[in-house]
Amino acid sequence: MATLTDQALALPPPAELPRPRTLLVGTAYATVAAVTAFVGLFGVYFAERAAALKAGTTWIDTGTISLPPGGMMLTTMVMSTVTMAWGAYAIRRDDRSHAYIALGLTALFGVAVINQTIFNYKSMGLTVVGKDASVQALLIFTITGAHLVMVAAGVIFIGLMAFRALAGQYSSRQTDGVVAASIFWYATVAVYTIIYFGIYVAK
Amino acid sequence: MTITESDAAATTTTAPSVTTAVQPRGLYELVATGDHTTLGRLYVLVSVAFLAVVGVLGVLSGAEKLDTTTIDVFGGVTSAWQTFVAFRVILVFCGVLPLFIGLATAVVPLQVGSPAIAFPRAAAAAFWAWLLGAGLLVGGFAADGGLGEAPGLTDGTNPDGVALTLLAMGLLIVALLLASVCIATTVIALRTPGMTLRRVPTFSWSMLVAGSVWFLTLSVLFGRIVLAYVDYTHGRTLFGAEDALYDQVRWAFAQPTVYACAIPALGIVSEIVPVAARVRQRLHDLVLVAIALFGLLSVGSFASASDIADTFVFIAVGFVIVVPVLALFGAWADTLRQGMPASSGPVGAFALALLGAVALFGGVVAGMLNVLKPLELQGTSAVDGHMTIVLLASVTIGVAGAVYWSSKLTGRSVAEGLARLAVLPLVGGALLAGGGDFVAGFFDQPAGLVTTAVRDGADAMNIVGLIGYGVFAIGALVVLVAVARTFVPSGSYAPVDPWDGHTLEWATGSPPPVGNFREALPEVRSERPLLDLAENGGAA
Repeated sequence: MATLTDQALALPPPAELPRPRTLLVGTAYATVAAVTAFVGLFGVYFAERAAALKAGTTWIDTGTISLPPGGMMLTTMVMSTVTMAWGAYAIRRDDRSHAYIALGLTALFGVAVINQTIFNYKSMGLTVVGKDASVQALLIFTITGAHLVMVAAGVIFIGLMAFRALAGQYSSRQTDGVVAASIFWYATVAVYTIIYFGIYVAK
Repeated sequence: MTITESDAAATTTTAPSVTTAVQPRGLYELVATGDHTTLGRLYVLVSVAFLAVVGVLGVLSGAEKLDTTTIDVFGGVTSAWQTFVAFRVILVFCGVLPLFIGLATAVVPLQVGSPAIAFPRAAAAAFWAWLLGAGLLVGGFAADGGLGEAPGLTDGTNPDGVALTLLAMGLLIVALLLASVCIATTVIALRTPGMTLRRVPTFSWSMLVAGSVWFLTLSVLFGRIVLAYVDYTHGRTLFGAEDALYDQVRWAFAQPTVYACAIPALGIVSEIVPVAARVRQRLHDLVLVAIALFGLLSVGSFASASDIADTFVFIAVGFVIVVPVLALFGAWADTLRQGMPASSGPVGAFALALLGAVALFGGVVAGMLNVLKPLELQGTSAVDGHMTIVLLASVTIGVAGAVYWSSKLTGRSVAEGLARLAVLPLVGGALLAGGGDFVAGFFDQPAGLVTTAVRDGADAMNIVGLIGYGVFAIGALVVLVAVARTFVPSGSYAPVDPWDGHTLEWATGSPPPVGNFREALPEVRSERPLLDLAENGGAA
């Protein structure tokens, strides 16, 4: 005679959740659009830089941009990729407490990058206003400012997905939101990596 | 051959009663709606109204060219320049792109068998942001702003108006990209079971291609506008200088980028031709590949750099892009060889689509001539003429789509007589308006605002161009009246499938009910499920 436990074990598995992947696909498209905008801006930056160097002039004087703040930002962003991956890993295993910690840390790193960017702005010897305004300053502030917006959007996105996970919307059966947020965040880090090496280091 | 799992009744009885259709009551419901059909019809109505405005702007610009040595129509050279720029910017961002996006917002979810568009609230936000951006854009131009001054021709602009114009363009691009995300995601992620990408209807496919291309071009344009805005409102070092603003965006209105506006047009023609001919689209896979290739070649972000006219890529793209268009004409001709349109079919839409496609082909050929180095047409008005032909031909095909799917947009079909009445003004206007400028380029008339004497032949072509703009404006007004009439409540709704359509949008009500389809759709097994059903006499 079958016991209650046997009957419970004999139950069919739950129906597979519909997984239309809309959020993943939509985020992928939005990320492509955002990254392409940066590609266009980088193209303008490097074209102007190449023209200046070809003309024999200096593009950015040594000491105008201090490297340590930029390096700290890069380190922070790289750390955030680890915590973001940790968040996605944890949600896939229904490890909700670690998922919250990881997503919270990623958002915190994002806020730190925003803070560091503002500090960097204040320490840079560049301006876009007045007689000292320059094309270099314009391009750097526009590119890094746009990246600042992207980081802020990423932090909001991660926060929203974390709250949804808190509400039980995301779990091992449905991880789309957290994975979508991670796609956008990795793109944000990739863009900053180009900013760091292409603008801050190469000058 | 069987293409659906259900019998005919299962598919053909999905027509809902009109009481189940989505009809927002009151302003709040209209503003708050996430219904894709409502949003689509709003896009179409407003964009057609903007096209009529564009026609008037074209007439004014054309009239100014009658005597190029003086400024007769406008108060000053800057006003003339702003009208020249406004024609382009409004045509693309308030006319062509939103017309296609509106059609896609309404039709694509139906075509792929989805109960809704992906991210309906984002789609609603995109529409209202676009409407706000369009209003701000018009405000920017009206406030003596626009995109600064013509190079070398300065008589002052309103800085706040210029800043507002740049902001409005940025907002428009964000809104259109957001709408494109919703549409492309619908095609990728919300297709009904059995509908592989190869079985996606050609219009939905073209919107997927177009959306992908727009992500790669409009976002670069957005970056340039941000750069111009920051510079304009601060140091005006380079990109934001008064006479350099238009240079930041000019590439978006020239080849190859301008072709990106025409991608959905190819999908619309490919939808209408086989339905009008009452036969299956021949060489369906070739059509999909040709549209994708056309889209690939219209990624023109690289053209944002200056001095690209002599580069190999620019010249090669100008030539190669003729190939997919020829392939499409071959597929359409082969389809029409199997069956000719009947008078009971979508004759008005068919004529608009096919003749619009002929005009578009003329534009592509003009583009090919433009890149021919020995002709030395770069920098002449031939470049402007090419843009005009491509965009106005695309508009004509977009109007064909609005006529064809009008019963799905509003529940009422566009009057066939009005649709047929609009054919010659739109097609003829597109060819004359663009052709005038294009041929004037052979007489060395410069591109942009012309303020110097031109040769006799160019004078004559400017008259032809003015006639073209006037005729097109009349056609746009006819279309506006025809579309607006479908918004007026009347006693009867259009039938579910007035054209014996082939794709899933014709398996639901006019207008569609809440959730689009009353019952779960059977598995799709070909790209033309309703045609398969008809060919099998409704048998499974």
